[in-house]
Amino acid sequence: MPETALTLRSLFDVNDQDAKRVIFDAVDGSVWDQVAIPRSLREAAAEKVAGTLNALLATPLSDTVANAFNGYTKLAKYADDQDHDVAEGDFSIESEHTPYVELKVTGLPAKEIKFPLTLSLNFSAVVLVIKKSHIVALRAGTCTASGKLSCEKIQLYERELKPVKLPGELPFGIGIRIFKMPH
Amino acid sequence: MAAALAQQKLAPKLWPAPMPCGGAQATTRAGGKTRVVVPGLQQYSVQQAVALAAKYGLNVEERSVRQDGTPNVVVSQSPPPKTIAARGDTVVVCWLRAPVIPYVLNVSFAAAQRTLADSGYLALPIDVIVGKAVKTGTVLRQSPRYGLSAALGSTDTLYVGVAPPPPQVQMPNLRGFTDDDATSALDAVLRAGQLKLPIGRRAVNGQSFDPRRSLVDSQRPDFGTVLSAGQTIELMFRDTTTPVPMPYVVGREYNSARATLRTVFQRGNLKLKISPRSVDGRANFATSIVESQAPDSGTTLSPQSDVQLVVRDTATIPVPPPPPPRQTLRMPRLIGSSVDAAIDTLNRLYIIGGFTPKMDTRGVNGSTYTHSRAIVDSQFPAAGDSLTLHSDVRVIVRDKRPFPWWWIIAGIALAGLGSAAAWMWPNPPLPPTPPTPPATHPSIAALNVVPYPDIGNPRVVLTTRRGETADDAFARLGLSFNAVADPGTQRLHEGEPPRAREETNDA
Repeated sequence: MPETALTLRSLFDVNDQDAKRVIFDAVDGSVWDQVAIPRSLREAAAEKVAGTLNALLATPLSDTVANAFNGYTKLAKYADDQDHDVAEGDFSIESEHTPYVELKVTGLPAKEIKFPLTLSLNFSAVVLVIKKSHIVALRAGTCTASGKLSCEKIQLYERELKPVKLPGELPFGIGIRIFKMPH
Repeated sequence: MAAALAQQKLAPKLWPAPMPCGGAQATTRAGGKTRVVVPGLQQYSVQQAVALAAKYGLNVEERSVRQDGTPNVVVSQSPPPKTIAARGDTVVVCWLRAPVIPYVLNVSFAAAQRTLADSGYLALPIDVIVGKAVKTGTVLRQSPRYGLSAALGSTDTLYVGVAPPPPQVQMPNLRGFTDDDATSALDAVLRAGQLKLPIGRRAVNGQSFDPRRSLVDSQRPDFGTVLSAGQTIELMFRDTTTPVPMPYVVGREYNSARATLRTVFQRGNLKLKISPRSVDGRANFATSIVESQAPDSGTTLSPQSDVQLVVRDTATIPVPPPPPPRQTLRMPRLIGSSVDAAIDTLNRLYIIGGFTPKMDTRGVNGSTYTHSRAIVDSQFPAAGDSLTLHSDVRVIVRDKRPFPWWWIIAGIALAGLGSAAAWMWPNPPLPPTPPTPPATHPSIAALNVVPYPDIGNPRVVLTTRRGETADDAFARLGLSFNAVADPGTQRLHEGEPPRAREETNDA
C-alpha cells in the first residue's frame, strides 16, 4: 500500500462484527420504525451498511490536514513564488466529520444513518514545504491522534491518544495556494 | 650324410613365450622331418602372418595382448625368425589388440575390476547407485562406456549399486501374545526392516517357563522403539498358570471397569465373558456405574468363573424443553367485506403472527360470483375464534345486490334541489385550501406492499420470498444504500492542543 493511502479508516480500527451489531441497533431504531421488515433482511441491511464503512472513512488524512491549513494567513509572506521550508513548530488539528449512509426504501423518504466522527491530530516539529506559493507537503517529527467514531448516537470506536505512523512527508496533492495579504 | 641328418627328427625344444603376450612356453616341435627356416612374421597382420607361415608349412598359434600401439599387428613370435624348424611345427605369434574398454556391467565389482585389469585399465568405484536389493554390489554403470578406445592405464569409473536403505521399523506391542504369535509378529517386522536381531526369552521371575502356557508380560525395547541392527530383543513371559485375582471395580464407570477386567483376563490368559445387568432395567451402560460385582474382589479367576457386574444408570433423564407459548390469534370479522379486503386482512395476520391461513372462497350454495363485486356472506371459523398456525379459512361470498334504481332518481332529485338552493342563497367564498403534501408512500397496487392501517403511521411492509437472497430482496423492494463521505470541518491550533475547559466551583 502506498504511504499516501493513509485515511481516516486507518485511524479507527473498527471490529466489523461490533460495527455490524451497533449499526443493526442504530438502523433498527431510526429506519425500521417506519418499515416492517424481517429480521434476516434487517441483519443483511446492517451488514451492508457496515460494509460501507471503508468508503465512508476513505477521506485521506492529507486532505483533512490540508483543509486545516487552508486560509492560514500566517504564511502570506511566503507567497513569493520561491521555495521555502518553513518550520512551524507544533500544531494540533481538530476535525469533525459526519459521513452517512443514505438508505432508500421505495415509497419512503430517504433516511440517513450518520457516523459522526471527531478527530484530534497533534503534530510536533512541523515543517511546511512551500513551493511557488503553494503548501505542497508537511513534514512532521511526530504525530499523535485520538478520536471517536459513532453510529447515530451509539459509539462505535474510541481511539486513545497514540502515535500515528506517518510517511516521511504528507503530500497535499497540487498544494494549498497562499495568497498575499492586502496592504 | 647331410641328407641323412636332414631326415632325422629334431629334438623337441621349448621356446620362451612371445612377450608381451606371455603365457606358456611355446612348443614348436611337431616331429616333422623336413627342415624349414622360420620366417619373420613381425609387423604383419595376423592374417598375413598365418598365410606366410602356411607357405613354410608352419602352424600359427595366436596370442594377443591389449597394448598401446598399432592394433592387429604381430609384435613378437616364438621361435624367433631364422630358427631351424620342421614342417608342421607351430610358431606362436603375439599381436596387439586395440585398447578398448571391456563390458563389465552386471557383474560384481571384484570381477569387473579383474576384467579391467586384464585389459590394462584401472577400475575406480566413484559412486554408488541405489537400486534393487538384488543388484547390491554389482556394477550398474561404467564410464567411459564399454567399447570405446581409451589409453591403457586410464581409469574406468564404475558405479556400483547398493540396496535401498531398509525401512525403519518399530517394536510391536507383544504384551499378551503367546510365544508363537510374538515370534510371528517379530519375524514380520524384522523382515520388513531387513534386520536379523537375536530374540531372548525368559520368565518374569527368572525361573523356567513353558512357552505353550505363557504370555508375553513385558518386552524390551518398549513398544514403538525404532529397531536397528545390533539390538537385542527380550521377551519376558509370564506363566498363565499364575493365579489372577478378580479386581475391585465397584463404583467405577462400566466402560472403565470392563477395560480393567479385560486386561486382567488377558494377563491370566482367560477368556471370560462379562455379563452386565442393570439395576433398573435400563440398557445404557455408557453412563452407568458398577454397583456390585461377582465374584468378589480377590477371588482367583478361573476359566469357569462367571463375572457379573450390576450397574446403575446415573444419567439424568433429559427433561424436554417446555413447549413454546402458543401464539393465539382471533379470527377477524370478514363478513360484509370484499374478497380483496378479506385477503388483505388475512395477510396482515401473517405479518403479525406468522400465521399462514389459506382462504377458500365459494359462492353461496355453490352459485357463481363476480370477484370484484363479491362480498363475504359467512365465514368459518367465526369471528373471534382462535386460529392455529395453519388454519384453513373458508368464506362464502355472494354478489353484492344491484343498486336500487329509485335510489338513483332520489339522488338526482336531491342534487337538483341542492343546486337550486345554492343559486338562490350563494355561500361566501371559501379560503384557499393549503397544498396537499406529497404522499409519503405510493399506492399499494403500484408497489406491491401492504398498508398497515391499524398502526396509523406511514408504514411499509417488506417480506421475503422463499429461496430469495437478501440482495435480491433488496433489489425487488427498492432498498438501496449510498455511502457519502464527509471531508469535515477542521480547526487549526498552534502550539499545545486546546484542553477541555475544566469546571470549577467558582464558575
